[in-house]
Amino acid sequence: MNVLWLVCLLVLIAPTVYIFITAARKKLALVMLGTPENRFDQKGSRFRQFVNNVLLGKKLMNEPYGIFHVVIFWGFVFIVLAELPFILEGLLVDTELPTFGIGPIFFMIKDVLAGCVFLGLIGALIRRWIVRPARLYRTFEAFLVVFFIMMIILTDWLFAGARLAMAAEPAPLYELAPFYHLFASAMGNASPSGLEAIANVMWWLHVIILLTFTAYIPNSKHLHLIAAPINSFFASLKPTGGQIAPMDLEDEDATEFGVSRIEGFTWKQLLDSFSCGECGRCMDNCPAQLTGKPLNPKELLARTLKNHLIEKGEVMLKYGLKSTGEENEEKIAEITGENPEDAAILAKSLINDVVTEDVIWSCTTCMSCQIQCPVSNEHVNKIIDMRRYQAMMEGAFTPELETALRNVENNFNPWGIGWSNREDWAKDLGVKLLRDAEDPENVEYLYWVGCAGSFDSRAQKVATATVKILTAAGVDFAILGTEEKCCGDFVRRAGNEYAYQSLVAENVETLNGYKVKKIVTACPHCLNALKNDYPSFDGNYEVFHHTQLINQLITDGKLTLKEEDQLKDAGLEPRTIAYHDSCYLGRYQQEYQAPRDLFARVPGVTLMEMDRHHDKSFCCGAGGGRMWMEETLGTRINQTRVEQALAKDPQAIGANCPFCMTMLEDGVKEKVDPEKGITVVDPAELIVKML
Amino acid sequence: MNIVVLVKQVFDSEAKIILKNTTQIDDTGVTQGMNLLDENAVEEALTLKQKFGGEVILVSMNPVKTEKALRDALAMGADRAILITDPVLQNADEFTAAQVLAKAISTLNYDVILSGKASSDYQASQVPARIAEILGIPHVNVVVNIDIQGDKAVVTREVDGGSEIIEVPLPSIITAQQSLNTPRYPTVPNIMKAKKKELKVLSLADLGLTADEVAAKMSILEYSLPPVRKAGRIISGDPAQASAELASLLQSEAKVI
Repeated sequence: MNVLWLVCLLVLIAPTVYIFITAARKKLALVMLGTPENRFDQKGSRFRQFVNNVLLGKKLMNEPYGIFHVVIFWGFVFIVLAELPFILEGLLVDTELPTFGIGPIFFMIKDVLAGCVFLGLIGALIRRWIVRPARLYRTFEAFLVVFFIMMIILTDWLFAGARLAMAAEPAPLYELAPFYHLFASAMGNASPSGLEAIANVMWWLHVIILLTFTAYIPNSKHLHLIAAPINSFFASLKPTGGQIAPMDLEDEDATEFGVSRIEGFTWKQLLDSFSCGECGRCMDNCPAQLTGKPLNPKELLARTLKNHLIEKGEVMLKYGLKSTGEENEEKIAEITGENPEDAAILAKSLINDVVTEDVIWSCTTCMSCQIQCPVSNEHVNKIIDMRRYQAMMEGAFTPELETALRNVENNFNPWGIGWSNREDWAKDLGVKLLRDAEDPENVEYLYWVGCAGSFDSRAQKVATATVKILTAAGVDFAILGTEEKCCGDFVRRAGNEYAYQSLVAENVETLNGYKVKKIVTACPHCLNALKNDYPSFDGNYEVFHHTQLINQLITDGKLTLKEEDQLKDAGLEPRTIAYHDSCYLGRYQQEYQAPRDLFARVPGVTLMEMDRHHDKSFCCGAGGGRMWMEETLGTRINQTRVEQALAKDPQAIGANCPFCMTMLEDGVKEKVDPEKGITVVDPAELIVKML
Repeated sequence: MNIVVLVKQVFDSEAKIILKNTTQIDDTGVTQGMNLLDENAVEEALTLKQKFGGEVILVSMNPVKTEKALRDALAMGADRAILITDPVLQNADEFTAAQVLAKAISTLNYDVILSGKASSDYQASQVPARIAEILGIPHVNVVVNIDIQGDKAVVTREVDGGSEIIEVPLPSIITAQQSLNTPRYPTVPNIMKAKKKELKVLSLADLGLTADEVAAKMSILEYSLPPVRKAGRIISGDPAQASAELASLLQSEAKVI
């Protein structure tokens, strides 16, 4: 036993542990400034989520080079596990090494993985310093960590190699570790005293770097190492489209709605910022970011919100403040007198001083950032929470959005057309109205038309096709007509939870009054609202998209379509269709297949995939209330999407959502010569021609 | 500065008008709300209150007891409201409204009276002028800017092809054009507070008026709906032939040439 070394080691460990614990406790205290949220339920599912996304790196491997991270992750785990034997080996000079059951196989795996990690880190350096994609930031922090890990591996190899070369007998423990032997043979000719010196120096270098790295982690963005696994465990288990928390608007004591102070976010929302590893997949898929708008989801979480939390949170902790709301007004006034600098930090408002309104309103709630995020961060709710403050506390909307909201309040549709005209589109189609049904309870499906299907002339064509198809298949269905009101999707996502909840209450009362059980709709926004948002308000229904139901009807043989030779005059000219997955059917419901299947059933149609498709599909620009807002910043999202479709040279663009159709048709008008006759088409519009 | 704002509850502009009979409009299920130009008046009142302090009092008249428009105006930030309601007001005309509202206003302590320049339902623009007459105060209408200077107001009113600046002593009654301001969207805390604000409901008797005193000068003989607009027609075929047919149809059917 090398007592001197042990003493020196302990002297180094003590400050490391102190720095680590102090920093970790501070970060924990910062996160705990957030409001409460229960994420401790369903522990089994959470554990599975942890295994999938942390241990197996499933979300990481959605992109091919994610495998590098998985290798680095596992290599790092083994390297950490091997640290104790490494340290003991240095200390116990003449004593037999206790192996804790760790055998030659362990060291083989560890050594091979260490080699892979080393190579992976070289790859990471190349990706950051030579062929850097825009989404990766080149920072000193990133370099430092790569350097630390490479040095930890290298010093281990040199230490073990020197020891092996010195040893009189072969060490059975390391006999399967290739790099150890490689380094040993490379140093075979060195003198024993030279080898001993190398071993001693490398051991100390290794220990010092290891301890420095340990102390560094909780003080840097590499807190990711600790926060990301925790964050993955606590990630939302709710369906993608049902993660917006309902607000208690009946609460008489509530004085503030939405979030305008960093500590107004929940602890989980704050933890997100520390979990971010800055991979940038979110910004690579964000329609706002890619069209030159000020919203950058990575910057927002990993920098803007995190830096503000650290700055303001530290001042709050210094004075023992739990919040900077009205209840602490006096205390803050005191601080203003004593320390104006601290007070200025406390007075910074989250909205405007930290996050601009343009950032908040650029989001289309397309959910791509969250779906791509390997550490399961939840970006969209933060934006909606800030919108809630703007909407409900400030009444601050753009004038166009305010008009749409007023229209919904007065006429229950964003276009503001008189609500009494809601069923006019169906007058000549012989559609049953639920209020006229003899036994409304037993009508199998409610066809929820939605505002677009009811009032927008383009969407009415899809609604008409849907009605004809359902009728031909003998489906027992009815519509609500004038009893139907806006589902509230955009109202909620624009932050106006107050107006939203009154709409929901009225719709749920109508639906439950008729004991509606199954709903079909041609609008993915209505679909998501009814299926994922309404359960929080006693609205529980089985909800289908029209493409899902129609596809099922054909599969079940309930709907027969004409064969190809009978369709000569049906107007189904052969054509190539570039298919656009809407966010609210695709990422929100993970339904990618039904619309594709329907298109595939149409003779002469060739379906083409755009470069961004399925869960990486690119938003049309209309979600989250953006349908009702002017797009003044950057380039237009709908035009960008149309350009992506045009790259495939299609004759038509396939869609499944009325908002997408509007946006894509507008984009086609602006980007394509009308002579070319490029159209936007819903699969139901082709299927109806095959009846 | 105490400000009285006249608020009228009207049909939503998109409402489908259905006649109950030849002299009555059916209001069942019709969305009703504050007259939009009255929102501009409320907004202006709130801006003035912010500048000069005082109280914003809403005054409204409706044959049925309905609070929607007043609660909305209270949610914007007005302090309290008075609603005069009485079944006999069912046949009220502009004369009736002016008599009733003027009487209610005369019980208040006010520096200025604001309202929209017209109500979106009947568009008569008479009530403010009649009230001015009854109360013996000046009246300026179609106003796009108000500048209060001590005991007088310098107001800009819109006239054909330009604007006119008028100085009026206070109190006076000023009516808003749409471009006067942008009405605020009520915040949720204000909507909550509005539910508890004072909304005094008075009958004609409470004001010391009798039905005869305020009986309408005008009586409705008959309401009728405008004829339904026919769908457009496309004349197809050879351009020369089609244009000849169009010309003959414009002459014989549409009778415009």
